[in-house]
Amino acid sequence: MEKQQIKAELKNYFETEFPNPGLNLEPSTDLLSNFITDSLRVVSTVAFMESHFGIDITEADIGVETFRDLNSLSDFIFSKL
Amino acid sequence: MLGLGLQKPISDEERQKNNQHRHGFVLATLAVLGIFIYLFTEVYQPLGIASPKSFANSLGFNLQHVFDNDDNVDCEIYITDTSEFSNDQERLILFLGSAVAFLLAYYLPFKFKRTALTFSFLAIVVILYGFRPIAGLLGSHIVVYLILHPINVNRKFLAWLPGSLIYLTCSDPSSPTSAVFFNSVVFGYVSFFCYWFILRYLLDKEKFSQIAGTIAIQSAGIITLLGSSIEGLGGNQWKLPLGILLFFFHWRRLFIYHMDFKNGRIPKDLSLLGYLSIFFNPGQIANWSWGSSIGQGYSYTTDRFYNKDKNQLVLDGIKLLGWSIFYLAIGDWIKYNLVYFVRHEMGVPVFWRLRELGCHFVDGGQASVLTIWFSCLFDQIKWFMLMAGVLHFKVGIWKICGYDIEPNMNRPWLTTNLANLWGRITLHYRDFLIRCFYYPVFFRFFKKNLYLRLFAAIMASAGFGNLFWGNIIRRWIGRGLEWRFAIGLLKTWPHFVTLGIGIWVSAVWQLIKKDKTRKPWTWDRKFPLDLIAMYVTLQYYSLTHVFFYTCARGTVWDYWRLFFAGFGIHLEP
Repeated sequence: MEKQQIKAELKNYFETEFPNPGLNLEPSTDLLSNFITDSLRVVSTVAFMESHFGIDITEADIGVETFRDLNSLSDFIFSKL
Repeated sequence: MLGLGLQKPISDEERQKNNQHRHGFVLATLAVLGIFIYLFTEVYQPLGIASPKSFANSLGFNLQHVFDNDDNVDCEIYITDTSEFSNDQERLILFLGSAVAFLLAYYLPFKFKRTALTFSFLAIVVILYGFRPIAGLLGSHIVVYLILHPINVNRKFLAWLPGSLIYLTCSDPSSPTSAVFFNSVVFGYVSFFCYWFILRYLLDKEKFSQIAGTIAIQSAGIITLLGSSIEGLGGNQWKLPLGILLFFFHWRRLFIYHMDFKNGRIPKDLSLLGYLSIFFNPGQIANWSWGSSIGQGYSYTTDRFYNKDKNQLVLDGIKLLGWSIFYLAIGDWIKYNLVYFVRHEMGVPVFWRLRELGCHFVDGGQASVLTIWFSCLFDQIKWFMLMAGVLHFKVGIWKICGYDIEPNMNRPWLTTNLANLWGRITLHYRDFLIRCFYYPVFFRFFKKNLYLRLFAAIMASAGFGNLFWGNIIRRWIGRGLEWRFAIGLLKTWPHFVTLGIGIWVSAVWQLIKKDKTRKPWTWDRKFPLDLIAMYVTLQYYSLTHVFFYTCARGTVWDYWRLFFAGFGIHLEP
């Protein structure tokens, strides 16, 4: 799977599950301020990534470097595939 | 508002930019601390000025349940387990010490700020407690430091400190000074030899290092269980030296520190002062066991030091200190008037304390649904205001000292579900449970079923972790190592189960609800539903506390009956 495709699927996930009307989700949009704003959203995003992309995620992966924006998140998924 | 180990790191260059002096903010902070000193100590007497009560009366305010017998404002801020001073004197020392710490942290060059805060903490607690307890606190922390951050030859003298300091804290205060000094030197050498010639080599082995680290971090729980079991089996009761008890009150923060350590977020070669600066801060001193997760672990504290303009942090701190004064001063007055209104204007009997309702019910008394609802709700309102007064003070002190620590309590009346409420009233504690219990379970079990996975993680954190790691500190260690306290604590299990189930239901609802675009409290036709959701959430949460503030002669079944009576369902005794 290409990074662009991963990014597109993540974008679709965030816009469907955690809609934020009025905000256009760009690859560099701050996810932690606008979409992943509580612990439930962290774990449901993790569950989505595990089931949709077939990757295994650990607690040590939970960090701002990973969840900062679509770019960092897609890089992370790509590295796990 | 997201903690959970997701805060952004900040560079030293950015921190330096945030270090611009503005003297007006300093004067404002000192003025606010001056108000604390005036309202909550007896300083008005030697100064020969009007007492807070006289001053309020002269302005036409004649409020009940606000002032003490000594005419200052009744205050819940205190220093745990001191014996030298009155509460008013302790508070005066704390407020003055916090003012000095603030000035040092504000004006000293950047590289000295955190060290200054650490030494300010030590100076304040030495004045409050004396040297012996602080020796125990320091010695215990150095043990943890030496295990997690093995030292090299240049710093081998540090291995001498734990034995010496812990001996000092355990020594008999009536022993001759020369004997105490001699013995502390001997124990210092013993600890040095044990560490330098044995432990240091064992710590090179990964498995041993992991086990030793876990034992050191969990020593509060291990000692509590062991001591209480021995007492329960008919042995003597262990009496913990005060210094060790104070160390145990850092248990939750140590746990998060250890999680950071295991996740590779702490430099292995962290200096001892760097380690101590995480735990020793003037914001930690008031009511030690209250909000003992505030500040969390290494990464949270480090990444939030000077991450904003320091004057903005000071302003945020002043605001919190202002709210603290509000809650400390009129919290009881608000509850008194709520109870009075419901009793006399609505004619509904309401109990002043939840425990009184429990005893009334256990003794065969009747309680209507409204009585149960109001008694539970008002008791929670009272606790919220007490906690808000103290915890806003603690976080306010952290803030004026340059740490962007989030308020532990954040407008719980805006909650619309139980999962959200829990983060609004105990933010740092919630983050502690998530990092230490929720994530470890979530990332290991039931990976194929999200709802089951959430249930396991929520029950592990809000149930098991909350019951043991959360409440042992306040309701067990603080009272003494007796088996009956363990039993008393275990009998509160339904509170944690009903809370966990409530949080799980609200989490599942968040995931499956169809309209995910609407934010709560949007002014539209669903606004009344937000009000109802808020009330139901607060009412349910307060009702679960019938299992928590119990009457000693009641059984768990009695409290299940009381819980269901809150829904109008009457069960047989």
